[in-house]
Amino acid sequence: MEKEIFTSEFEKLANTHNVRLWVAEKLGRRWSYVMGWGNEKFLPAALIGEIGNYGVFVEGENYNAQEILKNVGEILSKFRDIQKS
Amino acid sequence: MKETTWVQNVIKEAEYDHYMTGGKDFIDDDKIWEKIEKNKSSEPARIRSIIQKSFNLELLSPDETAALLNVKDPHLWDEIFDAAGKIKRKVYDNRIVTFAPLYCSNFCVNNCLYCGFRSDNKDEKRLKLTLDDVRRETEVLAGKIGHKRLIVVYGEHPVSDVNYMADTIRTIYDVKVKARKGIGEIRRVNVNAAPMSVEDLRILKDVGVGTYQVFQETYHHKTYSEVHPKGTLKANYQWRLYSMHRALEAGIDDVAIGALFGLYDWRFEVMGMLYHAIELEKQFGIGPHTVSFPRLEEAQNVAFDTLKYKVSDEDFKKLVAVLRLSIPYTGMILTAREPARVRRETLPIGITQTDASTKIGIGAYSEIYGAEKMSERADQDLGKQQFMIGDPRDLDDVVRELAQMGYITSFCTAGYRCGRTGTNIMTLLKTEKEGQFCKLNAILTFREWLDDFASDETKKIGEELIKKEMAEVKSRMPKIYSEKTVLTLENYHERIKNGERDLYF
Repeated sequence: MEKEIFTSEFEKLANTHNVRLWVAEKLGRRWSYVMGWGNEKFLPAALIGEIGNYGVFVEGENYNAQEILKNVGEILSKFRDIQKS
Repeated sequence: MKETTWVQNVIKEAEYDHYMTGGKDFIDDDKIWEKIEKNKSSEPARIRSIIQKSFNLELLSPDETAALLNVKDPHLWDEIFDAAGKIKRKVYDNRIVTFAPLYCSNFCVNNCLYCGFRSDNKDEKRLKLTLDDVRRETEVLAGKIGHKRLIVVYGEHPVSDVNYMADTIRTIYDVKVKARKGIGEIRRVNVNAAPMSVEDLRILKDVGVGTYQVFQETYHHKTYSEVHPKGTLKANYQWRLYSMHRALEAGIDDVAIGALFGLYDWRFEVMGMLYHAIELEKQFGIGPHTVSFPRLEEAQNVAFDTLKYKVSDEDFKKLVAVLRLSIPYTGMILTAREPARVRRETLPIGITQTDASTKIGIGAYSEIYGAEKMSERADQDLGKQQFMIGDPRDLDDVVRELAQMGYITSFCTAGYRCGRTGTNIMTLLKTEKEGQFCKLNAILTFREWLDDFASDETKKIGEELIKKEMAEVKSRMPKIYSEKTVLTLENYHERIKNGERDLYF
């Protein structure tokens, strides 16, 4: 259930910003896919933020990277809270 | 560490036991033969419906694959060949990715009867590249020929253990060479090495390998035992068969499988590869990133009857086409083992990758390149290489020929540098989206290569091809590409012409 809610929150985020959004793990020079949401745009991928070995990638037009990162943080916090309760 | 002590510690049975059911692995020899026998005489209508199913880019079932393998009617084969080419274009567009092998060491503890590296071959000159040698080899590959993608190859031996592999891969990635307008560098290192433990595979993962490739050689248990003598590491069929399971467990999410055709019946091997793909999808949701189907070639001091299961050129084309239809999303590698004529005939039926300017002797690139061009089979020294190369042509010649055949050579290595790996790339492949990325990145990397390495003759043909490709991209707007995509492509293309490098989608 938590997984579905988590996925749906990120799906909503990707659709709101009209981007393709995904998380990948950094391994040397390689970025290995972990999870992603939103439709493919066929645009260059931009790494908009890194947390440890994980990076958030975005593909889209005229998006606000800071806003997306802030929203990603909010979803993660929400899930921390759900798991604590 | 002493060789014998090292050998004793390689295989970890606990790392594959848990995947087996009742002590059995997922290759059931009898069942495979039953399926081949059972599907001997299918009606053309059934064959055509199987072909149509392939266009959905889903794995075929073993029964469906067996039915294709049994087709006798040459007209139906023509339909299969035609479909194979169309499916390839549907998934990967008209690009052919190119790479080169770099053999780092030919020390080997195994004694495979068909291999020039086998320990009993005392005429083989045993060599291992130092890291300086690796740097020199890479300087030729990346700085003179213009490759961006390598597959590094190692014999199984303590002198070329995983730490040596990691050191060589780091060395390769560090090499930057000034080219005509830009920089020559290797952007993706794939690995062909012996089966490893999860712990060792994590070391490879951390150094940033591209694809991890292990060939089963033969999926047929009895033949496997016969050609891999008891007491050697390679004699353990399951340790090898579950290599990709361990790689995926270790986090390497691009894995490649293959069989050495000519050890056993080719139809059985195709079925074995299909079962391998089914098993990986079942366990991990990720099928093989590529499949390889090398044919057994002449090698030094082999102790194996190479004629019994020799695969004819005609059957070779059939097995390539059936693999394309059975595992429709996978990359398919046709190597320079095959002579130019076979490569020309086979490329259109589903191939996605090929090598060129290939040398498989240890240290061969820096020794030979720039001195005497290796253009004849007779120029090869079997005392220093695993087998005989069939097509030793230069990359420039191969690129030009591909362009004349309507293919664009791609040097793209974008996917694994922005997370288009694992389940992501599998989804993109199965939904025909990866090919759209391929098209864009092929144009950009081809532009780089033309400006940095192409001969005048190849450049002229290449320029025309780029114009055509750009026009095709525009024609796919707005159905597939947005205006922004086309503008970005044009912008990147101009910037590359002006000397910028490594711009990609």
